Amino acid sequence: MSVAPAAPSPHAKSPRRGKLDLRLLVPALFCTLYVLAAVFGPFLTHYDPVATNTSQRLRPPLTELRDGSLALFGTDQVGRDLFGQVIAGAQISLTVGILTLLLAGTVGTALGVLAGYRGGWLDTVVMRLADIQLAFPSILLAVLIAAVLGPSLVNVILVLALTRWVVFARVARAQTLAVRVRDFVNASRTLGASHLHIVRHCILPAVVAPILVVATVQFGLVIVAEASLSFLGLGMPPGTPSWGISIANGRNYLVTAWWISTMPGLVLSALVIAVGILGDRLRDRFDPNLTTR
Amino acid sequence: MTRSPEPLLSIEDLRVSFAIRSGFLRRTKAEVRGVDGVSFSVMQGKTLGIVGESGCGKSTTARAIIGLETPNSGAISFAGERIELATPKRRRQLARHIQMIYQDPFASLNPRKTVEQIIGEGWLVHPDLVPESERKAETALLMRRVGLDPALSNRFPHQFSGGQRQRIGIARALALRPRLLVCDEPVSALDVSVQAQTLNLLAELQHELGLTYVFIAHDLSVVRHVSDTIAVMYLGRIVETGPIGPIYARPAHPYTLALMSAAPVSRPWAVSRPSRIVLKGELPSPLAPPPGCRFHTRCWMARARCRIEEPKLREVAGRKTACHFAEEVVAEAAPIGTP
Repeated sequence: MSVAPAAPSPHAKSPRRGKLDLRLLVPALFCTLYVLAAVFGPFLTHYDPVATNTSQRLRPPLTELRDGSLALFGTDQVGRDLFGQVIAGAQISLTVGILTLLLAGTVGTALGVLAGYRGGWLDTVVMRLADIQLAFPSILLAVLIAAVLGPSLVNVILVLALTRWVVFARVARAQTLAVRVRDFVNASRTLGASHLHIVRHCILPAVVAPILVVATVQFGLVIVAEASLSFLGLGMPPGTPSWGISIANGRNYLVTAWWISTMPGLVLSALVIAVGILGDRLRDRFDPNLTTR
Repeated sequence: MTRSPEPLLSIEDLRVSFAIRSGFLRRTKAEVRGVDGVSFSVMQGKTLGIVGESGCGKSTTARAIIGLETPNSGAISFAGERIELATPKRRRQLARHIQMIYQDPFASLNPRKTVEQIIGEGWLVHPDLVPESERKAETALLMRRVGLDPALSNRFPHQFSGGQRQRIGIARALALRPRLLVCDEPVSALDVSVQAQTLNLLAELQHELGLTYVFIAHDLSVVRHVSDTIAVMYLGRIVETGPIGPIYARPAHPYTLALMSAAPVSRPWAVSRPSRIVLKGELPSPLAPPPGCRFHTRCWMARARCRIEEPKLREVAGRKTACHFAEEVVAEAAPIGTP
């Protein structure tokens, strides 16, 4: 029998692959910048959250301070440098964002795959629970639990993860339901594969892509939620340079010193938009209509 | 080759039904009998062809054999062992001996795995079969065996054509060195030219490896090409079964006769052939199969008796058939397809 060569399939690949995709690259670079700022920024700016410098308070952005340094974002009502504050806040926001997503993503995906794969009463219980939780506005739920637990980094992560697992669970379940009935899963079962083997080799690889996309969308929302909680005094303890707290600090000075609230707000918005675009792009990339599965 | 007198696979009165649930507590509202009392056996190294139109239960039978459906009753014996009674663990061990070729080569291969991973998946499940150090060589061997270039082992399924994908599926099944291959319409999704190549490959493999096939198709000429015995199914039952020769020469069941008359033949000018029988109406719903003979609603020979009394499979002219008037059908059926 002759050996047949593989058929060339020019349409099988995404037409964009190999070309520089600016709409993917720009937001990705932007996010990298934030991560770098969060990791290395505190070593460069020396922000001290309890230091006050009343002689230099309420300086507008780009003022040269008395010690010769440039206040890029201005100073707040007790003379702290806002740029340093925003950099330090990046560390908190990114930590909260990443850890919350890891926790919510792991728990949500596991429950979703389990519910979708097993079906039956387990599916009903998990999904009704998810529906009930979705009926509450998630920020209201977060406020409620945060008020009980009290402000701290760990509590913020727990509270936000508790409000987010549902999204991951629903996506993971939907994808599991779609993949579970496909013939290649039957083929694995025919080979004698255990349920664990099927979940590991057939279900999870198919679930990962949509979950990653959901994670990018949720990342922005989690960071905003953390800022909101902190703004309300229910997130990070007062004194920590969270973006939400910085914005809250400046709300009495909006008319005279707009930059105190505006600067951290702009930085926050820019990150959320960048991550949002990144998620959008990733979704297009993983779309089965654009890349053959 | 010595053949055991006992069949490799034998099925006794197999019944598989699907519950239709609805309402608040998901109560069973009705029951669809997909397979309703099917019996057959296949000898080692032989091929049984199962034909019938869509919805007649042939795929459900296949899925019951490989353990994807749980039978409601009946016995499935493989090499003397009742596999439908086996514990899940034993059933997974037995899976090694009973493999399946799927109909749709585009759905049956995991799109996220390379050919090497797909073919080798069975060895992850049955690690004792091939030592890890020999798996690469064994994969190359299998790929060459089914007519694929081993250099392509790192490609993904979407980079192959339908026929090549079906070869990958065959290699995956062969990797476990099975004794029984259940082929569920393995060529109906392929181009005609590729169909012939794939059928020839399956025939070669059977000859070399002594495989036993249960071959499901709706194409009569395909079944004739590969099978030793044939079972014609209608609405969950076998209506006629026996060796290929007598059945193709002179069908003894009106349904078989109608199927045969609808099959295209090569060189039609050289073949004497009765006029084509066109069946009227639709396949009745398996939710409420007609009383008496299940075929009587569409049979041009149906009489009063057919509406009341269900015909049993009985020996007629060298095969078993389930028709009250089988002798008349044999007499009516002129030899078909022979020049």
